[in-house]
Amino acid sequence: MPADPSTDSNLTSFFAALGALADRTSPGTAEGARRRGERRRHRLIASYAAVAVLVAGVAGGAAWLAPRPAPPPADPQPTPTGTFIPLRSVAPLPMEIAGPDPDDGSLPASVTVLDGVAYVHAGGNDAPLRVGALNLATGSPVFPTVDLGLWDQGPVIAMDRDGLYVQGDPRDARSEERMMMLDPATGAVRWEKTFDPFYGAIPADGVILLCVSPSTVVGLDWRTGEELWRRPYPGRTVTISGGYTSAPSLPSRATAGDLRGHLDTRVVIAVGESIDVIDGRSGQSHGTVTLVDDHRFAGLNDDTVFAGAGREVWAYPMTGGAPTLAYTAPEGMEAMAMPCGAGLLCAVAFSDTDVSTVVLDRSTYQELFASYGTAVGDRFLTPDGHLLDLTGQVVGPTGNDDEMVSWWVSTADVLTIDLSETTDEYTATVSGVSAQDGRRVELGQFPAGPQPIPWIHACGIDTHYLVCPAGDGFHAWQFAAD
Amino acid sequence: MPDSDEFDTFYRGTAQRLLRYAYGLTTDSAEAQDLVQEAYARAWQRWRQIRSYQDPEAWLRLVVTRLATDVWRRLRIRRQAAASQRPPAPVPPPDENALLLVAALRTLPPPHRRALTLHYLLDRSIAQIAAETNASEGTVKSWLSRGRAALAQHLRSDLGQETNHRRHSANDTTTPTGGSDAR
Repeated sequence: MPADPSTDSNLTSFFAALGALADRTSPGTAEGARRRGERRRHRLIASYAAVAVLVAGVAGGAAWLAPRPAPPPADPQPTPTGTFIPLRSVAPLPMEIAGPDPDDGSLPASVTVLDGVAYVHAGGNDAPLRVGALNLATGSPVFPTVDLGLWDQGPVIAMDRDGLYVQGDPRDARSEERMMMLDPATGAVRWEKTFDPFYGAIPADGVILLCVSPSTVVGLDWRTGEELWRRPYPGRTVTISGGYTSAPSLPSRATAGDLRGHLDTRVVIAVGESIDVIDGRSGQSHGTVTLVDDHRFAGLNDDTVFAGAGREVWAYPMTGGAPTLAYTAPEGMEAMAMPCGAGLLCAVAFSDTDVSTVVLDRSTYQELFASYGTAVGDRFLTPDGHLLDLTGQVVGPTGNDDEMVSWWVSTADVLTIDLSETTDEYTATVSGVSAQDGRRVELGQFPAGPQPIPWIHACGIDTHYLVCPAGDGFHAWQFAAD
Repeated sequence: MPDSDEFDTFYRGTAQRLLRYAYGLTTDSAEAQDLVQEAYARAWQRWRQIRSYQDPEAWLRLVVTRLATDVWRRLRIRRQAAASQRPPAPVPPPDENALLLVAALRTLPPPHRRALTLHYLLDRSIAQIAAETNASEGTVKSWLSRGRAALAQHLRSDLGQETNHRRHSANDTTTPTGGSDAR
C-alpha cells in the first residue's frame, strides 16, 4: 500500500523509490558516450542540412538529399535579363571565424544585409561572440566590432531596423539565458534581460515573445525591451511554437534576414492540447484550434495551422471545420510541413538516416513532385540551385557541379554559388540566373577553402550585395547595379 | 593518464548520479538514458576544457537540464539514440510509489521539478540548489514548497483512486455474487 504523501518524510520515501528505480537503470557505458561524441565530429554535412531544416525551419539544404533532377545540356547561354554586373569586391570586415561546430556541422557565423549594411556575427562555443557591421557602399565598418564574450550553444541572431537581437547562453550566466538588443548604428547594448531557458523566447515581428512562467506569455517591445502585453493561460502549459511566414518573401534592397514583413505578425502558441494563434504585437488571440493528436511541430499559413504528429501532418482551418490529413510520411519516419510558395506546401519526412521532401498542392494536398525550396510565381528554386517549373521539370541549365547554394534576388533573377574542387580546395563561382528560362551568366569567382559547404550556406545577400564568411572575416561583393 | 582513461573514471564515478537527475527531470527512463549519454558525449568532445572545471558534474547537470527542456534537441537526440543504441536491458517492475511519483512529477513546472530532484534525489541543500540554479534561496524554498504541495495533492488524489480501485477489486473477489447483483 503506498504511503500517505502528506508529510515530508513520506514524500522522501516516494523519492527514495524513484531514486531506486533510477539506480536500477543503466546509464550506458563511457565508451558509448565517447563513441557518440566522436560520431558527431564526423557527422556528414548532409545530416547538418537536414537538421537545419528541422530545427530552424529554414530552407538550408534538405534538397541536397532529395532526388536531384537530371541536368539538361549545358550550352553557352546569353546574359540573363536584370542588372547583374561582374563581381566587384568590397573591402572585407576582418573578424576571426572558427570552423563548423562539431556538434551539428553548422558554422557559428551569420550575415544579414539590411539597408546597404551587412550585419554579421561570428563565435559561440569556444570562441568569443563578436558582432560587426560593414557599410557595403563605402567598405567601412559602421561601428567597431563588439565583443560579447564566451557563449555556449549558438546564439539566435535576428535583425530589424530597430535593432540587432542576440539571444543565447552566455557562459557566465549558469542556468540563465540572455537576450540583448544592440543599436544598429553604434553597436551599443540598448537593453538586455536574462530569462529561464526552461520556458523559452523567440524573436518575432517587432516583438520578442517570452514565456515568464509555464502558463504565461509576454510580448516585449523590440526597441525598448518593455513589456507590451501579457497573456496568461491559467492552469495550462504553454510552448511558443513560432510561426511560419505567410508566404515566402523575396529579398528586397532591404533584405533577407530582416524580420519585419517577413514573419507573420501572428504567432503560434501551443497551449496544452490546443494551438492558440495570437497577434505578436497586441497579444490578442486570432483563434484556437484543438488538436486531434499530440504534435511536435506546428505553424501557421494563411488561415490554416499545420501540425506534425508522428508520420502525419494535419491541417486545421482557423475558420472552423474538420482537420484534414495533409501528408503521411513513409513508415518509420516523422513528418513536418511548411509553406513554400503561393498555393504550395513542402512536406519533409525524416528519420535518423534519411530525409525526403515533397511539394504538395496547398488546396488538395496532392503530391506535385519530390523537392524542397521556394516558389515565386511559376518557378520553384531549390536551396541547391535547381530551378524548376511547377511540374517539377528543370528550367534551363542548372549548376556546373555537385554543390550549390542559391537565393531569389527578384521575381526574375536568381543568384547562385556553385563549387568546383581543385586539388586541395574549392573555388566558388557566382552566377546570375534568369528565373524564366534558366539562362545564366558567370559573375566571378572566389576561393572557398577546403570545406566550403557550411561557409557558403552562411552567406547573406540583398538585391545588390553578397557577403560571405571566410577564415579571416567577412568578404563582400557587389553583383548588381541599379 | 590518457584522456579516455580519465574520462572513463569520471564517467564511472558520476553517471549513475546524473541519471538520477535526468530521471527526475524527464520521468522517463529511456529519455533519461539518452540525455545522460548525450551530455557525456558533449563532455567528451570538450573534455580537455571540461576536466579543468571546478565542478564538471555541475556542467553535465546543466547540459542535461537544457536538453531536457529543449523539445527540438530531444527529438534529434532520441532519433539518433534510437538508431545507434541497442534496446535497454530489462529492469524489474518499478515500485508503486515510484510510478505514482512519476505521474505527479509530470504535472509540475520544470523549475519545481528541478528543485525537487536536486533536493530529494541528489541530497542538495537549499543553498546548493540556489547556487546551481542561480536563484535566491527564497525562490528555491518557494519552488520546493509549492512543488511539495502540488505533489502531495496529486499523490493523494491518485492514492484515492488507487484505494477505491483496490476496494472494488476486493469486493469483486470476496463477494462475487454481490458484484454480480450490483451489475
